[in-house]
Amino acid sequence: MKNSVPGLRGQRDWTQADLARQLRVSRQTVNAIETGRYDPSLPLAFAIAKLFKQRIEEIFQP
Amino acid sequence: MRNDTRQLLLVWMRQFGLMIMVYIAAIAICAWGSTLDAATPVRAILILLPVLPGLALIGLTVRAYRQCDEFIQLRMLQAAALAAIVVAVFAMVYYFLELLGLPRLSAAWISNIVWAVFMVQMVRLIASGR
Repeated sequence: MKNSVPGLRGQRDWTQADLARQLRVSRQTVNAIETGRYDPSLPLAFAIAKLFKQRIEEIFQP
Repeated sequence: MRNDTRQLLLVWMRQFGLMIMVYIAAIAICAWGSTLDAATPVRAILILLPVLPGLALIGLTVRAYRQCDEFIQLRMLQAAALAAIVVAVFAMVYYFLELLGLPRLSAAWISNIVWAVFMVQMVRLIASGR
């Protein structure tokens, strides 16, 4: 699944570690999501969408 | 990897290492207990002693698993699945090698192989999170 997490994070000048801290996950998890190696669970996808104030489908595309 | 996740896994590895030492000590006591002649309850307890640190290894690992986030949990499950596959293949291949004349192996080796493969995967996981 493609996603716009790297772009949204970059717009806010956050590092992967910053984003990971806010989502309460590991930096490795953020990295895996950004590179498309891991599709987050629905609760984590909702948390990402809430953090970036966007809808899930705007961030994640099949 | 989030610092506390990495820290958590490092603490788990340290505890795991200590428990392995306890396990080895228990095996030594077990080996000595098995040489006792009389079939007493003490002998049975000494022989079953390694089961306790063996269960503690599982308990430590399950506790660490529960404290990790979903991606790390997935990686741990993948490590456990790979360990199971390696053991299944090893057991199948070795069965035929035994027919060819190799010595019979104790089933206790299965546990050793599972943990060895699992630990290699976990070390790789922790190293990749630097």
